[in-house]
Amino acid sequence: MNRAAMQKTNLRHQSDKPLLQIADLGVSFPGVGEVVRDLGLALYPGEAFGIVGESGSGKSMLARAVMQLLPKPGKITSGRILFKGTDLANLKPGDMRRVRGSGIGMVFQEPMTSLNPSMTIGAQITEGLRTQGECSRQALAPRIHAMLERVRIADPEGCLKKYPHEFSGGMRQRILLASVLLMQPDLLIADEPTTALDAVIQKEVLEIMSEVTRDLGVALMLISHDLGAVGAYTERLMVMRKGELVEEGATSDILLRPQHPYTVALIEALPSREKSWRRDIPAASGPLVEVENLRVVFERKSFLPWAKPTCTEALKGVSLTVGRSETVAVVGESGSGKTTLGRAILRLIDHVEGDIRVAGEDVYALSAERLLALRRQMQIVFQDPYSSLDPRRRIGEIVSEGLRHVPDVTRAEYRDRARQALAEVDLSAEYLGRFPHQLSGGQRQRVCIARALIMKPKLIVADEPVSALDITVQAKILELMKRLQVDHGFAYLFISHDLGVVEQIADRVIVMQAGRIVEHGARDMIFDQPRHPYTRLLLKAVPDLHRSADASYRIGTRAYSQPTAAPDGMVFDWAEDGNDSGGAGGAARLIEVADGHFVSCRPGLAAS
Amino acid sequence: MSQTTIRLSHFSPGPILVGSVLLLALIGLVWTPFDPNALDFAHRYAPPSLQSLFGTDHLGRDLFSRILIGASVSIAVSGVAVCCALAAGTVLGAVAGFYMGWLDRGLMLLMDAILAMPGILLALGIMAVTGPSVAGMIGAMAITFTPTVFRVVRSAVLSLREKEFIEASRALGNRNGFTILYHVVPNCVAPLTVLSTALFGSAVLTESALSFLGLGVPPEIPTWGAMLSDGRNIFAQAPWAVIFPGLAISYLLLGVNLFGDSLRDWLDPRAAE
Repeated sequence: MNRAAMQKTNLRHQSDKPLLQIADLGVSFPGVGEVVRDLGLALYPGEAFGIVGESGSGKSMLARAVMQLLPKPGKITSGRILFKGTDLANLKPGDMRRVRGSGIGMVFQEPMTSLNPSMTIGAQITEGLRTQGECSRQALAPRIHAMLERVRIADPEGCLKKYPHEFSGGMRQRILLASVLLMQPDLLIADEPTTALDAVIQKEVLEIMSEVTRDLGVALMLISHDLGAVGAYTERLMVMRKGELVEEGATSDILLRPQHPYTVALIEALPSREKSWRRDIPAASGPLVEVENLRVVFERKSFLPWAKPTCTEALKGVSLTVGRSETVAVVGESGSGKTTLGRAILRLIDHVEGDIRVAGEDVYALSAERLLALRRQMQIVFQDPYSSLDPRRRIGEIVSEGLRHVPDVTRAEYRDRARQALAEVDLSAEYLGRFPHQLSGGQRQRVCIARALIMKPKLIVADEPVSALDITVQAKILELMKRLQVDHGFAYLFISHDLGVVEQIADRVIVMQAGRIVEHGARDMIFDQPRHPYTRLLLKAVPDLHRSADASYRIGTRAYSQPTAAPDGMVFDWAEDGNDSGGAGGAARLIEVADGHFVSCRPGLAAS
Repeated sequence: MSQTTIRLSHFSPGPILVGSVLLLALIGLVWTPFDPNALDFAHRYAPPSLQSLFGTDHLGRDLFSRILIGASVSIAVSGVAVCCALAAGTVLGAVAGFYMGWLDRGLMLLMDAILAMPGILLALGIMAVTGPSVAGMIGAMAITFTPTVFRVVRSAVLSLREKEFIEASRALGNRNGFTILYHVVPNCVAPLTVLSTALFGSAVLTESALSFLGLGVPPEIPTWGAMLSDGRNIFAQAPWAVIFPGLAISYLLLGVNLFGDSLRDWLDPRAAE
């Protein structure tokens, strides 16, 4: 399972000839400059090699240079790319086509767009094989079958007749992997293959990828921004920054004894509980947010007026409280309803059932005027800093926009207030006149925070505020959010799928699955003694990075030895074998198993 | 090298072309070499010469003077019609796309009904009711163009409304009307500038077709479209009677299209600097 652990020393490296050897590689774009500079690496047959870097590090351009698939104005300016002894940079297009697929295969990041939606899976898989000259369907069928089974597609025969939209992201990525490996390449390049996927699926895909390439003896070049993922599945590792090689070596060495300051910074930027902030939460004067039995149903009207609308139940009776100055994290995979929960609290969703009270006032029963007053107290920071700022407005206008609804603020004060808000998020006043596209992702997220901050809110709903950011930027934004909370004393409802971040920032954690809460409690309770099997599954899926006493780092996976035990007379309403009873038809309820630690169960059949 | 290409692409002859046409139209309003409607049977079918720059037509009227006069009419009629269509289509399209639901379905039905009829036929029907007049023609053209604008704006808004900055605007407490005007409409500018220049082109041609049918501008006012259709009958004797109005229309349309592209770049904060 863990390749790094399985092959501690790679003595064969000295004897073998490298499969892929890159020397002095330079890639440049006219007008932009060099995106890869003097890069060299050697990859040996059957090896798993990781490339880690933040956005703009040139890691994807390196992969594309190897495949000769550089986007248009980009050019290889220097160096050699030797694959099995031939220089790919000087190959004729026709010869290069033969290397692609059968020599080097590639798995892309976005499973939603890397399969053609108008072709069946079968047609797409055979398409690649045909170019290799294998034409008879009969001869191909058993090979395709075997490969699909290898990547754990349950029904290979049926899969071939289906279209991509019928599969989930993880399944598509596995299908893509199968179709690439069927070409029997010697090297598989996987460029951020699991970035778009949930943690549990990510682990599954990476494990399958790692296992199958090892079994088939295919070398793997795994490119990712996620040090944890790369570290767990590769033997050797290379860290890149701004197109240059920073550090290269055995994965375990780099993680245990990072030499370069940048590698150290990268590892230290990973969120961990040791960096969490302790602060005094004022004595409870009643909770700030109370949500009781919240249900949200999305209706999709049919094209035919008489047909029944299709209903999706996004939230199935959720209850929670958020105290003043408290950080409550909501964790769950995509589709768990966590985003809907945040939006419902802000009344950004029109129809809900149940009660939501913020500062004692029922959010959904307020008059327009009172709602406006309440809106000032609760603000939201979105996930995607690229779509959450109006591209046609200047930063000053964006930040001060909310002031229109604050009485006693004259237009003349807008600029001053905007400047103050920007100063709080460490942006200087010169940003007031800029447009969002002139800012980096981290700076944009700071602007989003300033836009919320200028309203002097009591609650900030942060919907995945750092998941679109690079790891070092993420660490800085988390630091900023922490400082602002200490200064202003507002509460966070922090929605995230990233358990590492949650472990660092949360006071309390709520775990959601399929529209309901499966477990909630204090942060340490949830992370140290998770009771619900779903929580355990989530926790096991993320690599756990810790700093040891001697300033080295250790990546491991969490293991829970004791089987989970449901409280007396109850059984869990969810099991890992896929037997999801989805809240057991409303019979499930939250049982307190320890002080403030609740787990969702339903009455057990055996006990009754 | 790349810097020069960027700088060159910033330069556009569009504004110069459009500006020169506007200047000629203004001159035409106050001065023309000859009376554009004066008949001079001694100089029928006169080819272009120094005295009569673009020649004369079958009634001996000076084509250059007529083109000067016609410029203001053609530009004004097409411009006003396109602006009306832009205003109506943008408002309706933004509202339909933003609110969706029954309002959207109702407006879509209406716009599809208008689109289903050929533009000229629809204009004919409207003019049959209102009687031939310049105002009626402008109104008819505006109605024919509105569905196109509506559909473009609506589809742009449908994708815009899912953007998080629209939700952020709601979270700040802004009313929907403010959100539409402040955030939604400005972000539709790019497709609209391109579309409006294309519409302007077809407006010039529609105007000529309607005038040809005797429904638009009265025959004593020369418009470029009307001159083009008049000249068609005498093409064998005086090809210049077709060539010069045609060139004038092409010149204007080329200018307007280039102007639209540079307007779009100029209005886009991302393209600046």
